[in-house]
Amino acid sequence: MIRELLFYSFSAIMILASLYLLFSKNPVKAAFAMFVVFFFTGLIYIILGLHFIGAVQIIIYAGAIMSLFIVALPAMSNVEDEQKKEEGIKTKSLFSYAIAFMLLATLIPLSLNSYRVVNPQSFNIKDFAMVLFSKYWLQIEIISMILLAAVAAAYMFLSVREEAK
Amino acid sequence: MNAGNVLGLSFILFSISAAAFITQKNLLITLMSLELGLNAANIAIVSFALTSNKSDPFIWIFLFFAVAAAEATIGLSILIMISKKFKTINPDKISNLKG
Repeated sequence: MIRELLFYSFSAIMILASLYLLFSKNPVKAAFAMFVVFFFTGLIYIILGLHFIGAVQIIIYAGAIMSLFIVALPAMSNVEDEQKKEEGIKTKSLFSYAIAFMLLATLIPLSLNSYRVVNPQSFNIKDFAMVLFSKYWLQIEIISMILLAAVAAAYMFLSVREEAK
Repeated sequence: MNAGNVLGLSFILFSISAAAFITQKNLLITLMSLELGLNAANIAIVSFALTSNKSDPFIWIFLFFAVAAAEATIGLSILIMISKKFKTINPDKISNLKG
């Protein structure tokens, strides 16, 4: 019962945040909406019993990729600013109040320890690690090469331009 | 709450992200909506994984995490180049192929 309630409310928050990203003009606020979507995706994984995937989701998506976007924002500060002055601060703060209230509502039953959100049988971390490093070793190697190539390509893109000046 | 609800959530999120990818006038938000689309694909994989008891689908989720990180790196560096060269990140104004 409580799992259904949490799932549907988290889904509603994610859909609202992605709609905000759809209509927003400001990259910083869009990045915040993206953070909300990624964070609540991680929470939904945890509700479904996938603790490890949820933790990795929050670390990689909501941590690493988000900070990459935030760091890249000042590098584009030389573009023409086409944003208008926005009004209606009260409605926007209502949205953040709603998110804060949802997080609190999650914490209260957890502290009472009245229910178990997760199903430990559904995901086995030992089997996961065994399969990851035995059956899928080639995919892991390819992914590591892709990440290395991404780093090299980013360095090339950003250094060639400075030499051309 | 069953796997169908999770799949429906991923459908909704993917359609919103596709709409944002098509309609946004800011290339940075376009890149963000690409990330949202990958995230929605991950949720779809989770919903299919809930119906089986193997741990293979979670490996693919891991690989998608890494692919999303690499894609964000490349996309942002190309975007920084574009913003240096054209002084704008509005895709409608970037129309000069010769540079």
